[in-house]
Amino acid sequence: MHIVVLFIGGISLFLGLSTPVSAQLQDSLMSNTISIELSPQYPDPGDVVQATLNDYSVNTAGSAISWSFDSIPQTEYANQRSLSFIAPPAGDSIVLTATITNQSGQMLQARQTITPLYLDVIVEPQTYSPPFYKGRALPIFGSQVFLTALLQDDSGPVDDSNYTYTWRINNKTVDGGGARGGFRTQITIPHGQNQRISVDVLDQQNRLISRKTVLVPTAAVDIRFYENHPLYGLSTKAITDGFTMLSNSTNIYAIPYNLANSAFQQDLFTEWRINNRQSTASNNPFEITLSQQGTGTAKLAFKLRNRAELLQGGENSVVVNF
Amino acid sequence: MKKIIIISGASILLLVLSGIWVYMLLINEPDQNGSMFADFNFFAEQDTTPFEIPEPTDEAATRVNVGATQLRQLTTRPVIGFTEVFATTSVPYQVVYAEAGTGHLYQINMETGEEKRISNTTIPNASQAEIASDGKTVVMRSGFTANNNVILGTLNEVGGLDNQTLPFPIADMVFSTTGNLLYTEPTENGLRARQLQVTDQVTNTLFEIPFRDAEIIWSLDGVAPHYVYSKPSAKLQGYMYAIENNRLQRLPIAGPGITAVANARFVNYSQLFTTEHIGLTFNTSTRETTGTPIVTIPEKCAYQDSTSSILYCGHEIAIYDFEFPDSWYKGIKSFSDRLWAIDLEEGSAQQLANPVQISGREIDMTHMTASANTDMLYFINKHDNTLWSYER
Repeated sequence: MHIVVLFIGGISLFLGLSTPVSAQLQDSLMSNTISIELSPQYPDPGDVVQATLNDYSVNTAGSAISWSFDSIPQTEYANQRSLSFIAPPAGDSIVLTATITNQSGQMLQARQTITPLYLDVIVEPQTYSPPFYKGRALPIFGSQVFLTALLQDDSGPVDDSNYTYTWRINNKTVDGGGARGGFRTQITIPHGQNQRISVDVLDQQNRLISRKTVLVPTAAVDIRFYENHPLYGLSTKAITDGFTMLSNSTNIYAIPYNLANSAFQQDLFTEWRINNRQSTASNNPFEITLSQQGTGTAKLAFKLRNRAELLQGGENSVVVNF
Repeated sequence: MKKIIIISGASILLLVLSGIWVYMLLINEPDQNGSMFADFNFFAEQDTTPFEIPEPTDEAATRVNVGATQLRQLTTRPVIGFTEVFATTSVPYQVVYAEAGTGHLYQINMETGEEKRISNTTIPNASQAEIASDGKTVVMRSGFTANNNVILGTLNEVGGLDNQTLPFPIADMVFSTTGNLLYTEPTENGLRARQLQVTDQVTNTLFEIPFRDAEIIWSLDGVAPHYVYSKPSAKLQGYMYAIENNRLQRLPIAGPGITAVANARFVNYSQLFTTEHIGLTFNTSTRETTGTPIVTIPEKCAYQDSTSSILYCGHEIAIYDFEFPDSWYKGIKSFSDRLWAIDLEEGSAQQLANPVQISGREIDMTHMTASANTDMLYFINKHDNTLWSYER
C-alpha cells in the first residue's frame, strides 16, 4: 500500500480541507508506557492525520525514534516525535508503529491500526423555508431536528442493523442510550448558541469503530419580504431597502425562515406595521396589500411570535418607495 | 427605610413595565390567525387548476433580435423554464419557454426571431417548468406553497396542453435527453428517485436517499452517474455522494456550504473554508482534488457536455462570505455576473463576456444551460427572470 507521508506544517491546502472525524481504530500497544495519539482520532478516508508519540512516562533522553507503516521503515522521519500522513481509503487499514530505542539498545514500541470509515451526520432541521429555497433551513430553540448517521466502508453503506449507535447532544445521551440499527434519531434544540451533536458507532463486538461530532448553530427566525405579482407570482428576490412600487398596489409576503414547523400549528401572533402604525393583513396574516397614495417612502415592518414558545419569534422591516 | 422605599418602587416599576410588555406582545394584536396554519398551508389557498384562455386574435408577432450580438435578451416576460429544440426538416431551430405565473408556452424561432405563443392553457401560479427536448412535453409546478401540484402536459394540435396533475408529490424534477421524467418523491424518512416514461406512464425506482434535504445532480444522458449532496447551508456540514449500483457512494467531498456541479469526469464544488468560500474540483478518474480559480454556484454553471472539462459559469469577482450560499438562495444577495469558461483540467478560467459592458444590464445568472449541438449558452437573469443567450 502506498502511504503518503507529510511533514507537519507542510500540509497542502486542499488536503487540509478534509473534515476530521471517523475511523476504525484498534489500539494495540506494545508497551503500556508509550502510545501514539492521532488527530483526528477517527479520521475520514483521505484525511490528513497527525500522529504524535507520547512517551512522557519514561525517560527517553538520548533515545532514537523510528516510524514504520505496515512494517516499512520511514527513515526520513527518524527521531521525529510526530508526523502527518494521509488516511487510507475507506475500509483499508494501515498499521503505524513507533519504536524508541534507548542508548543501551532496549526498545519500546507503540502501534496503531487505522481503518478509516466515512461517518456522516446529516442534520435536518424541522424549520420553515419556502419551496423555492434551495438551501437548508436552520434550527432554532425548541425546534425539532432529524439526525441521520450514514456509515460507509469501501463497499458503500453498511448494514445498519449490525451496528449500535449512541447519540449525544452536548454530552447528554439521547434516547436513554445506544440502539442497534439506530442510525436515525431526533432531538429538540435546547438553549445555547451551538449544539454539540455526536454519534458513536459500535460493532457487534461492542468495539467503538467510529465517532463523529458536529456543531449545529442555533439560529433565529429570519423574516424576509417578497413581492407577489398578481400575474407572475411570487418573486424569489427578497425585497431590500429602497424597494420601489411600480404599480398602484402590490402584495408583499413576509416569509419567516427557520420558524419551527410546529409553530404553524400553535398560537402564532403576527403583526404588520406601516410607519409604525398597525396595519391589517389580507386574509393571510403573512401577506399585506400596499396601495399607493401619493409619493414618498414608508417603513414596512412585520413581527411574529409563537405564543407557545416565546423565544421563537422575530421581526424585520424594509423601506418602500412609492 | 429609604432603601426599602427605593427597592419597592423599583420592583413596582419593573412589574408595571413587564405588564406592558406582556400586553404589547400577547394581547395587543391586529388579528387572529385562526386555523390558517393547521394544514401547514403557509400561504393562502392557491388555485392550481389549469384552464384554457381564448386564442389571441390580433396579437402581433413579436420579433426577437437573434443575430445582432453574441449576448442577447430573448424575452421580456419572466421565464420559469426553457429548452432548445434543434432544427429538423419540419421544425426550425427554436427555443421554447414557459412564462412565470401563467405557464403559457412560447416559441422563439432562433433563425427569424419570430416569437409566438404555442399554448393557451393557463397553469395558475406556475412557478417551475421543465420542458422536454422535443419542446412539446412539459411538467410544471403550480403554486408556490408546500401544497403545490405538479402538472404533466403535452402540446396538442389546437394550441392547448393535454394535461394531468400527477398523483404524487414531487420534490425535484427534470427531463432526460430521451424524454423521460426523472423526479424525486418524499418518503417517510427520505427521498425516492424515480423515472416516469411519459409515453406509456410506466414508472420505475432509480435509487433511494435516506434523508430529505438532498440536492440531486441528475444524469440526463446516462453517461455520468447521478450525484447527491445534502442541501447547502454555510452553517451546516454537507456531504456529497455518487450513485453507484443504485446506492450512495461517498465522495471525498465534505464541509460547510457545499454546492456542486458534476459530469462524468469532474465534480466542481465550492465550500466554506474558515470565513470564505473556495472553489475546488474533484477528478473522478484520478481521485485528486485541485483548486478552481472561481467560486461556482451550480445554478450558474453548465458543462460543455457530459465528459468535458470545460465548465461555463456566471460569476462575479467578489468575496463569497460565510452567509453564502444561503443569502443568494434567499434572494437577499444578488450578483452582477460575468460569463466565464473554466477549464477544470488546466485550472484556468477565461472571461467570455461582461454583460454590463456589452448591454449595460446587470445579470444575475441562473438556470445556465449549454447547448449540446450549437455554440449557445442560455440563462435566466434572476433580477427579472428574463431569458438570455450567449453565442460562443
